[in-house]
Parts: sequence; structure tokens; C-alpha cells
Amino acid sequence: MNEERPLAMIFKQAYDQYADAIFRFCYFKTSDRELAQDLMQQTYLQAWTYLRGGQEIREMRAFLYRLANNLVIDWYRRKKSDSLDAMLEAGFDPPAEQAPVSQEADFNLAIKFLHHLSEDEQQLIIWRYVEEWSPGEIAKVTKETENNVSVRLHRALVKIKKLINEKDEKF
Amino acid sequence: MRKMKNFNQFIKELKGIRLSYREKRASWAYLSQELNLKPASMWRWQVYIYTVASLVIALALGTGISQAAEGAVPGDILYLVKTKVKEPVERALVAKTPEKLATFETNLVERRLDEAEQVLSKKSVTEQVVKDNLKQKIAEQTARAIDEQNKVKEVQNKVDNKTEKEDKKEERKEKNEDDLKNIFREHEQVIRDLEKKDRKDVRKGEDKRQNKGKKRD
Repeated sequence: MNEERPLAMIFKQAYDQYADAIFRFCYFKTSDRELAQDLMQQTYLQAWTYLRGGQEIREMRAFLYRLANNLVIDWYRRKKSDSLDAMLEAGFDPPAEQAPVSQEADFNLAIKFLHHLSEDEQQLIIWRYVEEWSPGEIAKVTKETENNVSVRLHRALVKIKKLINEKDEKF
Repeated sequence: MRKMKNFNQFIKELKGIRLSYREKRASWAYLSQELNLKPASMWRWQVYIYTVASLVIALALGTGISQAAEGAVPGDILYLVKTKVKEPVERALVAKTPEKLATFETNLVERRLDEAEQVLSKKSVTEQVVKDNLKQKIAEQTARAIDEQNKVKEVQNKVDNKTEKEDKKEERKEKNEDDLKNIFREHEQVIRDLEKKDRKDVRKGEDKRQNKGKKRD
């Protein structure tokens, strides 16, 4: 039991450092705040299982993102099959399940712009400018060279800036 | 719909999406409950570190850990060893006899008062926070002492023969309320010092009253 205490401290540190980023990641993917918080919690629950299993986690940030990503994918798969089932039962009327809440209205515009980028491009922009990570840190998560990250990041930046400066209200 | 003015505003709005302090704390509470991450256990690990540290110090100084911790007062690293390791052990050893436990807890009140005296004498001005901490420790220990004394009284009241009780009264060596009162009487000055409001605060109050009559800058 004594060996767990250092683990608990590592875990707490991982939470303090990355919980916000993981939450944000889940939110941008699902547009559901409560769900994002839930997925973030599940991410950490899974991470703890790994820690307790004696696995050494060298890159905590990358590891947590991988877990979160898988959880988001699982959720999408379930949602897709759920809505398919629901459609079959209801006779092809899609279930009304809109996530955005009124208080998030301010963010919707920014997110709409964001969704014009590819998934990869979105993540790069978020990691670099919202989480404020260096290209080197990002490279550790995406498992590529820092140079590669910089190049892709630059391209994504050009793209989004162009979108913001040109596009008005119409999408 | 508003127009997105520039990239910076875009990023600013994205940054606005985050966990609130409360949400983050709530999630952590959920996690630590689910995973059984009791804070007490983490604290035990700290005591482990302190014990090891004090062992190293004690070995270097050539004295036992207990002795090294003996003179520790609130604020010292070894104080944690004293109160969380040494004293619980001492308590456990006397716990079997209610009378001895009552005596032990009563003596401990005196120890807390002595420590408070030492802390107060070390600095010319002791912060209110420190004083509050000392007061709390004294109060807690006094409560414990009274508690144990009451338990002894309960046991003694169960004894049927009253005359027998009176005979044994002189023989009894355990400490009771009178001893507690004496302890407080002897440490009256410490208690007064603890209750005294910080001179800084008092002066602030006086200044405020004086400034009311003066011109505002």
C-alpha cells in the first residue's frame, strides 16, 4: 500500500497539469460540456488503472490524450449506433439532441471557424495557441518531428487566419 | 452574429472554454473517491519522510529520534514527528488505564501551553495565524483532557460503595479538573499573550479613528 502514495502524487500532478486540456479536447470534439467533463474523468480513471498496474508512463501528456481520444471515438461510435437504432424505431426521424447551451453562444462562432479545419489542424491550433505548448511538446504527443509539427502548424495557421479575415457571417 | 475580428479574438474565445475552479475540484473529489485516494494516506507518506529525516538528523547528532523531537515546537519540522508519531505512541501505551490516560492528556495540555510560550518568546511579533493555530491546539488538547477525565469520573461513579470511594480518593494519583485549573493558572501569561490582539491591528484601528477627523488626501 505504501508504494501507492508516490503514485497518487504522480496522478494528482497529472490531473493538475492536464485536466483542463483534456476537458477542452473532449469539449471541442463533442460540444457537450457535461459530457466533456465526464469523458475527462473517465480518462483519468483509466490512467490510474495503468499506473496501478505498474506500467511506467514516460509521456503523461501524450498518454492522456491517447486515452481521451479513444474515449471520444467510442462515444461517437455508440452515439452513431444509438441514433441509427432510434431512427429505425422512430421511422427515420432523427432524435433532437442539440448540445450547445445558450451560455456558450459566445464560443459558438469561434468553434464554427475551428471546425472548418481538419481534425489534425484543429488540434495543432488548439495545442499551440490555446494550451500554449511548444512545437516540441506537441511533437511528443503526435509522435513526429518537431520540424514536421512546425510546418503543419504554420499551414493550419495560414488557413484559419484566411478564414477569419475573409469569411463574414455566412458559412 | 458577431464578426470575428481577428485571430487573437478567436483564440481568446477558445481559451474561454475551460473548467472552472469549482468544476476542476469537483472532478478531483469524484476521482479521489472512486479510486480511494485518501488524503490521510498521502499525509502518512509525509510523516514517513519526516521520520526518515529526523532519523538522519538524530544519527548525525548522536541522539535518539524521540529526544530530537522532544523540544520541537510548532513550526519545527520535527514537531510533526512529535505530535503525530511520538505522542500517539505514548498515548497508546497509557491508553489501557483510564486514569493514566486522563493524566497523560492533562499533562499534554501543559506541554501545549509550554510550546506556545516558546513560540511566542521566539519572535517579538507573532502573526495572528500562528496564534490561532496555537490556541486551537491548546483548545483541542484541553477538550481531550476533559473528555478523558469525564470518562474516569463515569467509571468511578459506577463504584457502589461511596465510603470506599472516599478512602481511595487520597490514593488516587490521576489528574483531574483541579490540576487542569492549576495548569491554566500557571500559564496565565501565555494565554493572555495569545488572546492579545496584534499590536499592528490595534494601531490600525487607532489610526483609522484619528484619520476620520483629518482631511482626505
